Amino acid sequence: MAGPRARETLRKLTDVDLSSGAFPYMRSVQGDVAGVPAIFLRIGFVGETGWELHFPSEYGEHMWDALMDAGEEFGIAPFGVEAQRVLRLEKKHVIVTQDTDVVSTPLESDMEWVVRFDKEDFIGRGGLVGAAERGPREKLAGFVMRDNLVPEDGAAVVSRFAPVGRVTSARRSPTLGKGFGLVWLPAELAEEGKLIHIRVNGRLVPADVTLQPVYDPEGVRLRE
Amino acid sequence: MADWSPIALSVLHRKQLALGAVMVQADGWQHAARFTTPEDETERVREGVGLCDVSPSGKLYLLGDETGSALGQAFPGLRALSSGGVSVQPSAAADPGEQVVLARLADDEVLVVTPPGRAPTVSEAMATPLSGCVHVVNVTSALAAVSIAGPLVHRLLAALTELDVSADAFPDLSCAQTMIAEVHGTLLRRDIGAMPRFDLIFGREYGEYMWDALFEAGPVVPFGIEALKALTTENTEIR
Repeated sequence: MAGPRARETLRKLTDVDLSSGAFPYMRSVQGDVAGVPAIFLRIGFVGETGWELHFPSEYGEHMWDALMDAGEEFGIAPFGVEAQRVLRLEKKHVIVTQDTDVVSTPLESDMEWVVRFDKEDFIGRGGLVGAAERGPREKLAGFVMRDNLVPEDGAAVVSRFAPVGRVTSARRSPTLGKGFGLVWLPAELAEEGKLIHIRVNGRLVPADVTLQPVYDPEGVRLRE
Repeated sequence: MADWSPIALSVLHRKQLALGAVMVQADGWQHAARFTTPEDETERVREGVGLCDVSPSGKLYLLGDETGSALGQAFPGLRALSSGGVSVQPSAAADPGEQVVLARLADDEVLVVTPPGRAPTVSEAMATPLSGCVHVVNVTSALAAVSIAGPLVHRLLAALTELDVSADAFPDLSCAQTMIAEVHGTLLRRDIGAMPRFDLIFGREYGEYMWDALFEAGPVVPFGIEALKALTTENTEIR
């Protein structure tokens, strides 16, 4: 469950202290929700204050009803994976295997924060050290279309009549009112404000590179 | 905070309601008590093949290199149980007269089926004396289970699996993992007297699919826990 009123909703169903001081972003606790033992994960794929609740599947309908009843006064609404995909894209949250492939590294995928080079060893350390020394050849970056078109996932980025990159995810942004998404680009093009051209419906359409999430770039809402 | 009393639902709950099941509440779960009458269901199972949702059963995995010695500690009366074998044992952690079913899937893997609602206490009782590389994992929430019983059960299963479930190849008190309707499942055979009975345990997320596949595979009647109890009451021996 996610959204600025998720805490108020959940608070009606549990004794767990949900305040951001006691239960900050990226922490987990165990406790009861509506009488059901659950694991709370304070994570936020969609970019809002939120929790994943993991609990025994036989209580699924009970939990759903309890949450919907508790959230009624706050206007709770179910949402599907299509909305989830738009929300996560606005937060520039990567889906590994859709936005990355077998040759992607975290260093190129804007996920360097997941790598702890100060650890003595881990699987893949040698390869990542080599990649860091070489520097990235490609980078995963954001883009925002200059007009109203939305490219398809997989659309080519073209420069001087040659494909040089590809769109991995694209949607219409409710925040910007424009097409936007994630794109693999040669490292020299993956800079804030760079103009690129994406093939849409057989013609090249201009877009601007952005390195920041288009929604809540500081992650304030996620951590509230 | 409200005083909650959540009731557990089987993944087959709605399928059974659609067939007119009369539900009862026991051990924290909703069970299908009957679809017609226990007498009618019992008779039809004995003449053909019946299907009963036993998903509320507790399911535990006992895993690790020390599984054999752990079994001996938890079930002192158990004689040797080799891979592919099934045993029915009393459990000190369950109520008097209640039994657990042990299915040895491999040297280092046993599936323990408990009465509904007893998985936590049986798990705790089994885990307390454990030492070495052996673990108890409660998978009740992850697995669905149905009992398929009756003289025509082999014909039904043969339509859904390549496993040879004939009496010669798969006698009473046998178990195996196999594909059934293209879904991974574990089959436990524990006959009710002379009547063959198989328990099929499989991933909960395929519950409704499997229910439909079993009904499409041949004439089968649903039966509730009242008929199941009537059928098994006279066959409760430890074995």
